[in-house]
Amino acid sequence: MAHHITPRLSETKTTMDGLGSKVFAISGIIGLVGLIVAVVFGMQTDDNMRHFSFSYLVNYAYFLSISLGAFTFIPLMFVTKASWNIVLRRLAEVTVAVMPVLALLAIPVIYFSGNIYGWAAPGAEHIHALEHKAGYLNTTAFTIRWVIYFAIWTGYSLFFWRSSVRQDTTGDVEITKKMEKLSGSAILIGALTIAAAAFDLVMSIDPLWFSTIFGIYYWCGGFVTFFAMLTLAIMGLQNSGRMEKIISPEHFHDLGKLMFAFTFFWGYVAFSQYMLYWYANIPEETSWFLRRSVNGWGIVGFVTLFATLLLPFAGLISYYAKRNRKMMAFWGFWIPIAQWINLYWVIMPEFNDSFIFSPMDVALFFGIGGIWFAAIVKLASQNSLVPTKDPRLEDSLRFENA
Amino acid sequence: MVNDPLNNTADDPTKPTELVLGGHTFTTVTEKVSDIVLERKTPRAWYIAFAFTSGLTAILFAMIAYLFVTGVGVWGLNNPVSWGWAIVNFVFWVGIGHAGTLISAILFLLRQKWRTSINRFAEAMTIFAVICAGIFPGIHVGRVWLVWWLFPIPNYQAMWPNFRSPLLWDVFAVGTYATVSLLFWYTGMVPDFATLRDRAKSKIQQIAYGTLAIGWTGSHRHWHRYEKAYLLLAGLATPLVLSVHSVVSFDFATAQVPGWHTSIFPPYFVAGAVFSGFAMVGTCMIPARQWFGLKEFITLHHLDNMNKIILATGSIVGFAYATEFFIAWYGGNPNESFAFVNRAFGPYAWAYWIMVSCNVITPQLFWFKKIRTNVPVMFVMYIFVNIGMWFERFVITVTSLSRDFLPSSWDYFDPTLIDVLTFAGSFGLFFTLVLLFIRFGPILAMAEIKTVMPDAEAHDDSHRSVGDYHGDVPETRGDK
Repeated sequence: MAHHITPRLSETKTTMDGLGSKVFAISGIIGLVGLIVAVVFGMQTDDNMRHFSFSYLVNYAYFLSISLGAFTFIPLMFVTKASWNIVLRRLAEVTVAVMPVLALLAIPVIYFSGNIYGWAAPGAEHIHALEHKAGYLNTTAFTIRWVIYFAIWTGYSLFFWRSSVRQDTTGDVEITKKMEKLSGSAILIGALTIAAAAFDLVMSIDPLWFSTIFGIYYWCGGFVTFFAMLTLAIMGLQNSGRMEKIISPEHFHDLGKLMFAFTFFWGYVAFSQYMLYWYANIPEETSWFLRRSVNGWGIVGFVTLFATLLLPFAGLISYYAKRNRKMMAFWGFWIPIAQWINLYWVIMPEFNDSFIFSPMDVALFFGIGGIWFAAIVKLASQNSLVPTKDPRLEDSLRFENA
Repeated sequence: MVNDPLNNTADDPTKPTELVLGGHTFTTVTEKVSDIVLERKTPRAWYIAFAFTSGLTAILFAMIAYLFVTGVGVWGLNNPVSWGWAIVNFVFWVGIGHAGTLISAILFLLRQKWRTSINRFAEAMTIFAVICAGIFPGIHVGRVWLVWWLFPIPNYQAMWPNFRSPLLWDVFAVGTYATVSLLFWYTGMVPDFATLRDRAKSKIQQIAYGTLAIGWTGSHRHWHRYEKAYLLLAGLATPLVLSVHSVVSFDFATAQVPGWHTSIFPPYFVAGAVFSGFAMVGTCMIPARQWFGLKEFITLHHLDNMNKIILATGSIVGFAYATEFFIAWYGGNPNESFAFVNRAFGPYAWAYWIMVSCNVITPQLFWFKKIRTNVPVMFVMYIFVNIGMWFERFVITVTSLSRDFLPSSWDYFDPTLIDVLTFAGSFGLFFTLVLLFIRFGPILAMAEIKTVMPDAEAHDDSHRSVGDYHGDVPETRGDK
């Protein structure tokens, strides 16, 4: 390896400046247009917005999972006192700090819960197998739980973001210590709430089906997508002349390792869920997979197997792939799409027995994604893109892989 | 405490923590570690301990002999509980091994430099624990003369093993695990064996360590190969951390038995395995650092970190217990919810609450740094975790079986003296091997420890290679 010179923050641009408002406007407009188009589509379909509701849920659950991935990433870096990530941590912070926007975007899910969730559908009260949990699965309890989830997620995310921003001016080491202190509880409470939220948001669409690992399955998909999108975001910033040099192939290499590791872990979780249910072959458990393996959905499942697991696994295993900008950009695009397909496969068969894909799914992808991304850009524009006075920043700047 | 020169737990984010204390240089590290093997007189305590543990080992083999001669009826198995302590002990010991692999493989890939002081010991424990684990499936099959049926011997007598059985997957999983762990352990020791060879005075020691060192000279070419091999083995061993205990969990989870069949079992078992493994590493490490004066290497910072991992994995285990309980209710299967209520409030409630107290409740004390850095307290906690994790496997195995689908066949499982002595004997075997390793092997990875010392600091990139074979020593280390 060539002689390594530690880059300095002053050598590159670390603020959004004019770019911020431009991207915010474009992304916001795309978002609004997407939402409007989707609503029009939804109203034109004579199904009481049922298709719209499901499509909305797919995309909402998707972007929420990415922010929740970032939610776990930050405290994980603090408890391990890791330094490599400092140069890119601010980007993770703003990805989580949009929690209030995600909370607002959750309102349609709750509003349309009767369309989506088996337990809220008309006639659900007559299903014997649901009687014992009617006190848990009802719109009021569901809403209360979502208020609690978002209160917790917003609290932690704003704490991390604001503390980190405050350190930009004060440089106070105590702030780092405080964040380290709270990180343990953020992980523990985060794990509990994310798992419970995954049960609520996605698993309870079919209220009779259950899987203990489902929370991890949902979380892990978002976690790996977060790393992929972070990689893309950094590359985009670098192409605009920002964050150059300070985020080096060394950092991309680590992001690649994380993408690889959690692609694998995701596969492990998905396999654990599938194999154990397939093997025991109990009808109330296999019904979920059965629905997803017939009428065209089985092909989507197969695509998922290759797109989310086998191909990125093979493509990212090499040292060279992780340090190659083009390869990383490719997988940075690929993994988010693959994970979206997977989530689509998890959710949409509950809407329609046979495979269906409509422009509404695309419109809502850009609708929710546009708003979500605009909010992230808005927050990112307010401060430096790098935690400028983090005590471990120097270590992060000069970071080299073994 | 604050001025204690051996306390490096300040955790100042502005500077890296020193991992080797007491003003050691490369020379003194070598002396300190190799003297345990080559120079120091074996402490009397070692002989006493060895006599005790080898006595227990003898009991183990006596029990096995008795079992073979008489049959599995000597154990407390009864009609619904046809799978008793043998599987419990097997899972317990396999789990213990996981700390070694996690420390040597995953923590290596995660650049956790503090692992260098504890990895060797933990890797050795992995091997010994797997040996103990391997005994139980072998002896529990009833007709031991047919135990070779477990192995895929192609088409001999037109008979194939049952590839659909998770028990067979275990043979592959544990077999692979034992092989890779052994290779990893041995590869890491080669440079240290060479050091021992070069410092050995007696002919026997020279020949023994010389053989083990397989011609290591410490040349650049050797180090280069060594690093590559080490990294590759770390990469290969990383999925093994997940796979072995996942497959062990399949033994239960593929079945339709309530309380066993749930999808979170694989990662939950893995977390539990790492949890119990770290507790066992701690149980062995604390006396060892005391008796052999290794507090400067296995510092409070190391123990603090280990305790954090115990807290994290213990909490994951608690998370899994809670999730299982919740889904047992949520799923609405009366057999499933009965299994869990029965665990917590049935005839085995005592075992269940021992498990919960030791695995979930007491480790929460590790949230407090005062407790994470208090050696006597953490030692007690380690013992608790060991107990709790054995009971976890007992609770899973026995509670579900003893009250199965048919109430008329319910029965309570009572272990016999043979059960107890066999299990106690396996501890004898484990600790005998640990003691032998302490006496004859390099218990700290000398070469690796040197890389995290300030002396390994490259003052100039041109001679960065000296001892710095991991290449990731931050330049600030020298600025202390």
